[in-house]
Amino acid sequence: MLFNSFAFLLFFIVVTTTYFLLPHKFRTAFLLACSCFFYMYFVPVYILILGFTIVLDYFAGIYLEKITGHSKRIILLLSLIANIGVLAVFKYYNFINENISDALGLFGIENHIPYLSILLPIGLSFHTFQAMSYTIEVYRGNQKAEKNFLVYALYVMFYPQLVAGPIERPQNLLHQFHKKHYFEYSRLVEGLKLMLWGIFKKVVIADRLSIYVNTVYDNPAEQSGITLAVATVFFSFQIYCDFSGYSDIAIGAAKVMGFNLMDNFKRPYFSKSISEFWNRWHISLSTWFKDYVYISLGGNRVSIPRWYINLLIVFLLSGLWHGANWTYIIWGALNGAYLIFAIVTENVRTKALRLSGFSGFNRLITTINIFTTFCLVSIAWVFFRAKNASDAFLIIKKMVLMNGPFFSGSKYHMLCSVLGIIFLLFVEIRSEFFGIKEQAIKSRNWVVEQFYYASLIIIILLMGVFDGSQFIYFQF
Amino acid sequence: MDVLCGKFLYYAFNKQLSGQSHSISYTLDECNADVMIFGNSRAQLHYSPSVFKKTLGLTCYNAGIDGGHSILFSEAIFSEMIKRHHPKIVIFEVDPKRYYYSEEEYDKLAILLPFITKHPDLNKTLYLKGPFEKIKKASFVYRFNYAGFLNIILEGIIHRKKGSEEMQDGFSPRNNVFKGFYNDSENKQMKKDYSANAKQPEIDSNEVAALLRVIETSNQKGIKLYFINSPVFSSTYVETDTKVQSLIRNLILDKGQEYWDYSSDKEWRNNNFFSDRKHLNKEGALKFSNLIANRIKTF
Repeated sequence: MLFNSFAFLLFFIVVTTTYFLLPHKFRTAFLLACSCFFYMYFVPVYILILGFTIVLDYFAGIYLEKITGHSKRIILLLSLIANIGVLAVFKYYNFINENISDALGLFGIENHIPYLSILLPIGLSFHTFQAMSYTIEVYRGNQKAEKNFLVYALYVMFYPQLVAGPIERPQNLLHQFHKKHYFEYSRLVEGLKLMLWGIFKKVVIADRLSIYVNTVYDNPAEQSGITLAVATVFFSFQIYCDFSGYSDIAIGAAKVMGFNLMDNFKRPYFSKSISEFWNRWHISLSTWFKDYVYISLGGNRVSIPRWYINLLIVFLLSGLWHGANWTYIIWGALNGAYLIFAIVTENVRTKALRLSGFSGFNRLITTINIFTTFCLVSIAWVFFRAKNASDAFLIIKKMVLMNGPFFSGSKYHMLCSVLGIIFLLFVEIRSEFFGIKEQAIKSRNWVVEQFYYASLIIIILLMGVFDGSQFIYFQF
Repeated sequence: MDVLCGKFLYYAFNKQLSGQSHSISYTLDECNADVMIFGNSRAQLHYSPSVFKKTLGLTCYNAGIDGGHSILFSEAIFSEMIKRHHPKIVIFEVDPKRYYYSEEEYDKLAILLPFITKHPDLNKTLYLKGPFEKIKKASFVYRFNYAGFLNIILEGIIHRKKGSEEMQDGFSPRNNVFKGFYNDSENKQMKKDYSANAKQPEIDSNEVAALLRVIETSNQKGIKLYFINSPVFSSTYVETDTKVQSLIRNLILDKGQEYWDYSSDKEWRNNNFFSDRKHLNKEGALKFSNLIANRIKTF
């Protein structure tokens, strides 16, 4: 079920109303049943995969709490191998097989390993990572094992964040399922406002931008440099509005029912450096990699070359997490390279700035840094969006040469796209520099406030793209 | 707010003197032409009404609409128009590829939304779009989502103007010349790639049913129907779709109707006649219109 569908709107109203009408003791089972329905709305059979990992990790958690020493480590490893194994089979098997074929082909050897004809279960990487965070935290002793199977199953399957995050931690979410939640009008209003803003970002901005981006990126060889550059900038905003829109709807929907999910985005395109960008973009995944991979590898408390390698490993894994394709791996490597370059050149850049005499111009420097970071991130997005690596390199080459005429496509789509970006920037600038909540309008006048939200709904109905398009991150 | 904005857009919508929406309104409410042309962009760009007028001595209107719309849309407009006016001849541009099931085709039925107030029978086709369409259309502004509110305000209020004489007849030719070339090996490779990648989609039973309804209604009303598959530059486009191609052709021929297929006609493999791989330019459209008008005349 897509968040931007009418079916979800009905689902959400029915589930939320029934949830508050039910006695507390039935609520967990009810939410779990609704979450199963939500997931099975896509491809019903894949619930079995989810069921397998839930049962496995539930018992792993209980054993991890009971035992100590070497056996504890083995249980954790087995649990992680099982989770990663599911990912490997459904997400990476064909990719690995394809690369084996290519490698063997170089020596004239034919690969006889069969390909699997399977669809990737929606949101597999998200709920697998959430499940793994539970066993790791129980292993580390930061979280007590959950004894109630229904509660644990709901932790993995909670429908607002089941298919595209935020990837929650057990310390933040599990205890909330044990609490009694009472209906609160203020939470309802706040949650609905967040959901409205998320839907706006998805259907008015992201899906409108996608029309131009898809047209251009589907045929990069026939497009000019300027067209590809505009499409790349559009994609930067499309993926942000698509994914952060999803997160807003998820966080808002959970909030209405009394649950607090972690923030996933903090206006990332106002970052002044790549490291800041990764502290503001897909925060739940970035912190997951930081907590469970980067720190486990030694973080920055190792020799400098090893530190760089650690950073690169984390970004390569992050790229691979997104998809079984070399474009994602290059995207991850590029982001890792940006970060390492920034660390290596930090002293030189600071000295150069001091010598240039511009160090006092804080606003100018901030603006240049924000712009540079946005450009670097956008260049990396080329690999994320392009169909294959050769297309991505062609796009970058053409963008550098900047020749040829500009293709605007439909004037209406172009105008709506530009207006959407301007509105987003207006809202985010208010939020970033003036501390006003993104989705809110502060007005003493009740009528003005209601008019603002009514206008958002009208704009969604009028300018939204209602073609049932999926969220980009569903495929991960 | 919804009602106010919706009423304003409806007012502006009906004030338009040119453009796609105007063409649909005109077809539904005013057009009395003897020869009518229905279909998607290939219909709109390939048939010049003035050529038909000159050759056949009959009035003609091109009701083709750009945007890759399927027979579901054309049939809805045709069936609604038939209640008011019976043309003598109707040409349906056939695009067999469109008969494969695609969700996108159903999304595009949103184009009918602004017309349901005046023509409630269009709802029958609109509801194929999805189970919630009955509820969604309760919003007045949602009805203008597909048409684009800026277009409506621009063409209905700010910049009202009639199109050129050609465009007033529904014909909107393209003047550019396609720069591609016919490359047999490239086509073979494309065909190979297509076969390797393409999942075999299902033929859409709703679209086939719509086609049959057009034939049935025309037979009842005594309208002479011509189904035409106009030229395409790349052979790949048609050769890869033999299954649906033959199904649609046989279906039309079995019903005793005319099916003229120029899609793989080698005489049309000249880029000077095309604006892109699938669409004729003005020169090609005039030549093709002459060919069809004369063939109808001598038929």
